[in-house]
Amino acid sequence: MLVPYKWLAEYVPGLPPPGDVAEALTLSGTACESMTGEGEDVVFDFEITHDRADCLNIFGIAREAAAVLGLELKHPDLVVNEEGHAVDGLATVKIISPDLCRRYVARVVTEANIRPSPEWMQERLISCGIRPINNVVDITNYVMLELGQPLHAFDLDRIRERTIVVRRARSGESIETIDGETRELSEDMLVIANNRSPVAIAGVMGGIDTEVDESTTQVLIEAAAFDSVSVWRTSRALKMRTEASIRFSGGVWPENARLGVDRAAALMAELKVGKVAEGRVDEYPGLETPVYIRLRPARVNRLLGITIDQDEMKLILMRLGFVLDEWNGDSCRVLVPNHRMDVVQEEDLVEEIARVYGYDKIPPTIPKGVPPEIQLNPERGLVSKVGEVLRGSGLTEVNTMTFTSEAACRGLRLPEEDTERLKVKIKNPITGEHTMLRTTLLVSLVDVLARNASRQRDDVAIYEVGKVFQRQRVEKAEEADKEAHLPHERKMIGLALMGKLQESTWGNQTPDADFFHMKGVIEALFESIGISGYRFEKTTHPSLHPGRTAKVVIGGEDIGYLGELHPVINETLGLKKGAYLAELDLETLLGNVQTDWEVKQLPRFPAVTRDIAVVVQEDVESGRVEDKIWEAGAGLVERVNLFDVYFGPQVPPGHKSLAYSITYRSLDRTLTDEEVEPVHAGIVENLTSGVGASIRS
Amino acid sequence: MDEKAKKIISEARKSIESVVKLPELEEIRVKYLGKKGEVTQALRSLGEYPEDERPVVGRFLNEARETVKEMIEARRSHIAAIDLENKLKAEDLDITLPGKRPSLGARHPVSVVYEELERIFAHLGFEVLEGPDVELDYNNFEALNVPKNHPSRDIQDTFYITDESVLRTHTTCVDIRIMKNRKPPIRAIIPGKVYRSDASDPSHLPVFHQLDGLVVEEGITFGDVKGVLGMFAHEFFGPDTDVRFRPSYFPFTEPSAEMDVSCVICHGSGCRLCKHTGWLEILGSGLLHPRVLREVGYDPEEVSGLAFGMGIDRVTMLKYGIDDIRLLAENDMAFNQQFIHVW
Repeated sequence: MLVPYKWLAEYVPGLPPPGDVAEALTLSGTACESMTGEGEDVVFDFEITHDRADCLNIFGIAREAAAVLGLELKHPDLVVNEEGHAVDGLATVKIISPDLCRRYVARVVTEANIRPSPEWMQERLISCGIRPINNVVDITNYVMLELGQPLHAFDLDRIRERTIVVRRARSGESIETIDGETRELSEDMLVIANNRSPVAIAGVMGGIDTEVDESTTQVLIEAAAFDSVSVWRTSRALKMRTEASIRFSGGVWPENARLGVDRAAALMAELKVGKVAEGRVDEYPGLETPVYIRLRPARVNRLLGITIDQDEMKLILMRLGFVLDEWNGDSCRVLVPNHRMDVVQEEDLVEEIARVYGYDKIPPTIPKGVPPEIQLNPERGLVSKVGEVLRGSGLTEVNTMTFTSEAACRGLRLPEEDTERLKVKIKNPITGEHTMLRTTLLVSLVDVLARNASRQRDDVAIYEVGKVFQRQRVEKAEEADKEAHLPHERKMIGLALMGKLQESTWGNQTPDADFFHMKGVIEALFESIGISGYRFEKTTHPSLHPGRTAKVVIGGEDIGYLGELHPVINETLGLKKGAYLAELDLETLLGNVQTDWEVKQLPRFPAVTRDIAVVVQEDVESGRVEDKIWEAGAGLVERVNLFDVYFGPQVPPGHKSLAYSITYRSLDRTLTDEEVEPVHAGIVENLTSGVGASIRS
Repeated sequence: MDEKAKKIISEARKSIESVVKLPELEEIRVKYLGKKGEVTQALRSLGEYPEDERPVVGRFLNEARETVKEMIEARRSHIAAIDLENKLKAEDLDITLPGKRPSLGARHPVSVVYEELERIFAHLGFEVLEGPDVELDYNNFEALNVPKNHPSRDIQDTFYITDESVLRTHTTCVDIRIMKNRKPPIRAIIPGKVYRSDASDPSHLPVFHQLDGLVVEEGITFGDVKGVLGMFAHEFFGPDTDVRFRPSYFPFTEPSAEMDVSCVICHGSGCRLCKHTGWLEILGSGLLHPRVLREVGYDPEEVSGLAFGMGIDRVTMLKYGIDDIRLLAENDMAFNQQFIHVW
């Protein structure tokens, strides 16, 4: 909120220089965001917290400054020079909805002469960011800025039968507001109406029909205490945020309505706008009940961790306008001033005392209790190790937004019916690109690949540990436990490789990553986190190449999948190199980590290694060939390493050659050739009969 | 000594010392020590000496043989050493050629900061807990003293999923889950993504990161808020960092405080980053509001709690001098890979 220093100083005689005021207010909770101008012409911009609507005005800030700085507070002049008729004959007010309007005060000015307001007033309005209109409107705005009470001025002659009715809008009613827009009203909105139709949207904006202009001669000044929630909802529904609605939403107190209308009337008389009618119309159905709080100084000190004397607490609260009874033992009753709508309980008084005493004077301490026994979070440990291994494998971590859109899912060829079934939709999205939560990390990873490719970064190796979301299928729609309706959230490890995993160097040209690089990354990852006994099985995925996709299975449970990005998607996205993606379920991984692991004895006897080239038909999977080797290994095979795959003239058409290095070892003796030979022959035999292999010499 | 032996030794020494190549040295060995070598010949012709002189001459000749042998061996290792030296000289590398590096990936800066914060708070016995991104309106707002259909909802612009669930606007909602499931004492930090319906610009993203902290036990004071957070600030921003607490407002704390640290760029003298105030706003904190404590079934007269929450993206930007928050979400490799050196 903009506050000119000079205006503020009018209410606080002896106000220190602007810099000191800004510092003192900032440290007591009214943060000064900036100061513009020089010397006495400084204008502060204060950030008013949501609970302090009483500070959305110059006098409210002055009240704070006086309390914090220990200075005297001077009140604005409220003496009204009344010279007209009695107000009672001039206007009538009826409140039909007292739940939304606790008080409605009006004054009337007759023989009004509408012209520009004096220059000093216009300058002050402008310095606070408000455009001058005419003397009547400017005075209402001036008082709103000064006291925080929103006012509205009606051309009284244009209000049918001079009767103000405060009621809820009727279905189908509308109003043209002073900005020239027609607003459709609904039944939960509060309006100011004449006997027939609305003339203003209560607390938000007036209607154009009753607006004060050059032809106006009689003015009704409205000062009301509308319900904050009601005004807030109306202003949201109509998307109208006005100076008035901001203040009403924050809360106004009925007492201020009388001050506001009197202050405006006093200024109207002073500035000779017209004759102020005698008295006010004051409908006050929601009489304020005083708020009392019990203050226990011992509790204040216990919560703050200090020892402030109870008399000092009393002094602080009194400076802030609280009224304290006599001490009754170790407590006392505190009356909260009307404008402090935010203070309702003892803890609020604790903050009041602390902020004036000075947060900086409270000594820092460390919690004195015994720290609780804590459970180490195994998932955090796993994520940390996973990251370490993947970075060591050359993958860089990414952190993407969890949003996506139906269009992006279509771009990944994900079946529309799946997306529709699984998607968690955002009710109020702000862009078309962020309409739902992602159901797979693929959308995010592919997005990162595409962005990098568009910036000539074609070699990208990345990983992310992030959440995916699926709508929960609640069996019973009436399921009472709201928790059951929340989406299913899963943490996944996403991997993507595109182009070279490693830069080519002067002695070594690195190939672009392929399916087996991705598979190798996963195998290395699994080994490093203690996952074994898993298998890769061929599968399909709508976003991936139909012949180059596998899933990872452990004990009948799917851990995840990997594969080459579908060439059609690859082309659409303009990727220059093939992309390989994988997604693994973190929770399933965590559930399969081997924890009962022991160090193996070092081998004490030498190994014997035999190479073998196995020629099989092309469609025989190497995994099956390897299985056959292990099967016939008689417990002596320690390691099987495929070191070459060959297609070409050396083997018959439609065949391939797989070259394995087989390591034999015994834990309790040195193997002799005589021992290895029959086992090796057995393996050859098993390959021949099992997968139709012939052995190439 | 026998003249002959002396002569052999002196001649052999001469020729051995002038030899620089191993084959030539081998020739010399053959000349003296080979089957037809001079020493061998001389020993064979011992019979030409008178019988009483033979043992003496024989001894001298044997000595000469040993001496020549030693001289040849010494020369051999000398030449071998020189040869090796020359060979290695020829293998000289241009050590300024680029190294063949294993490729390494980098951590995302937000993870770097999270891990550092987890380490710092672990010293004070905080455990790491998490909660769902899609949260009940109740946990995110109502239980935290932000009623439905209330103007205080304006503080945060919220993405709604249903009438009852939202994309959490802070990780403070996890505080409610923790407190409802446990009894004090509690010390926890809660990392995670949070959401606000803001359009992306250099200082806003609709998805960003937060770390919340929660301590509930008997006798927690506002002084503890200052102590715990001051310690964090000194560990994270450096021991010379100044810290200040300002009164503020959060619906779920009372009293509430905003913590500022002295500007990381100008150290308090005023610059563009701190808007010439010398201070940077880092986090919000306070003692748990009694309504929140009662809502989770605690008695505010029995226990008190402190809570704090900080924006990780902002802290990351301050720590590494990043001027546009969108860089943290773009994942341009030219950006992410710069963090390879951070540890």
